[in-house]
Amino acid sequence: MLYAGIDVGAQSVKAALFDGQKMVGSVCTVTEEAADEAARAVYADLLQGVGIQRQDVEKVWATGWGAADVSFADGKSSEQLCAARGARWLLPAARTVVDIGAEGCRVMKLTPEGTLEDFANNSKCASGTGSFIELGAVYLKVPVEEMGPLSLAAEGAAEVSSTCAVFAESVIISKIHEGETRARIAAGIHRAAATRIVELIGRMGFIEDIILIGGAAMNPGLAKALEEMAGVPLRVPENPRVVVALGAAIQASLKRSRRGKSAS
Amino acid sequence: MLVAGVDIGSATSKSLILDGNGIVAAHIIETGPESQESAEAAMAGALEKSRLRLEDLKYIVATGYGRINVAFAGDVITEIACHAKGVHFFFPKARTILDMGGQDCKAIRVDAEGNHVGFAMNDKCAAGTGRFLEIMASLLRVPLEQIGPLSLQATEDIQISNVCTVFARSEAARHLRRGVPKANILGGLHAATAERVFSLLKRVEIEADFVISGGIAKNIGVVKRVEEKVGLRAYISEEPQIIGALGAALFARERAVQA
Repeated sequence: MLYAGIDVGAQSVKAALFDGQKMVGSVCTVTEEAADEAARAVYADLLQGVGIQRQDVEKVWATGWGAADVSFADGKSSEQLCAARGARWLLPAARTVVDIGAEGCRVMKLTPEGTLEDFANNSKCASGTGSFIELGAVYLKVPVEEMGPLSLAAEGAAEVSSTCAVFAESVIISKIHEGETRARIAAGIHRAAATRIVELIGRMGFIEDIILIGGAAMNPGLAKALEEMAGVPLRVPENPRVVVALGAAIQASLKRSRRGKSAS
Repeated sequence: MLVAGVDIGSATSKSLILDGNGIVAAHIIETGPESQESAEAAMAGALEKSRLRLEDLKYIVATGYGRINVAFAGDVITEIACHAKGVHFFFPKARTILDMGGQDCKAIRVDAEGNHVGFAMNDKCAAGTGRFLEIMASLLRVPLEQIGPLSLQATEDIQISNVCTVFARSEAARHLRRGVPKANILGGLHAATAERVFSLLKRVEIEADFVISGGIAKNIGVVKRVEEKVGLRAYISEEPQIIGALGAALFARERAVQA
């Protein structure tokens, strides 16, 4: 039996296919299309990639800020719940899930059994989200995917304020003017973003194991800054972008088995 | 007696020369990366316009974000005090001032003598500042001086749900892609700006007369929407961007008399 999860984020749409035992396929596409069209396109890619037909999929489950717009979904669940499901499936010891996306950051606290106990969100301010690092890359004139590796090459870090992504521009320009290296400024940008994220993790109590997911988890510079500032190790799964979509697919599989039980 | 005020803001640097009769000359330039250079260039502009030399000025006061880096100034005074004093010069009955600058926004309470008696400030977040509007103007490819008038042509102000400039920009871009008219998007963005500064004003108890100063006072779209929120007509001087420099020059005159 196959279950699909679709995570409609602010910048990209992710889809994952789950067969009850393992993830059999996933897709992530950066898109500017409206949620439903983007979800349709990504879902078609997913099915084509795995080589199956629409009717082979038992259920499609949506999540993310655009979940309500996915017209072909059989149901939807919150990102928090799906993040918890996906993370726990990848790392059964996970007690804290840190999900850093383009336009938000959320930290989920799980019980020892893996149910969602509490969460803290930042969806109001670009500081402490992927956007902060993306803008930093623009100001530094460095491709965004090079920001992490560049920051890892730095000795120490330049002081960059964590308050506003827009105001960081003038700070970064004056740092360049003062002769700071791009590597040290990049490291400072990662530390600034991490400051805000660590605040959220702190609110959830720093309970290990901590798993880092979302697009920004692919940035080794951010992972390092977070580990240094939080003082605890973070686990990053192989494909951190699709964990919430995977969680949605798992959620679809649970819905079905629950209904099956009640029917019997 | 000739004195001057220099106001080094995050976006623009202003200088103003004052004599016994009033304003002699004023000059506005964009602030560069070095405050000292920006201060010198702004001052040189006003001196050139008035055919004066730096030595002719008896006293100079610096204010603004970059004020401590102005080597030729005799003293430095906060923007809050300078704005209160500058506004009082034009509008002695002013009791509430909204100063909207490039990277900050201040609500200032002022007494009958032009002293500031309370203030609330946002300099931590770009929402409600000139930078917010600049970023939106560039997204929509509308010249900055035209966004205000265009926003007044909105048939409806589109709802902008994000406060954060970065997120509001993505939101505006999504509306643009869906074909929403620029005027309506600008209407929403200006309404969001007015909303943001209104929450700051509420922290200082709004009392008439109400004055708006700073670069955004030139944006009719923001002014109209702030007036609607506040329920008072806003008094705006002919050149609202030089109010801080004028206040600094008025302080310079006091210092020169004392010296």
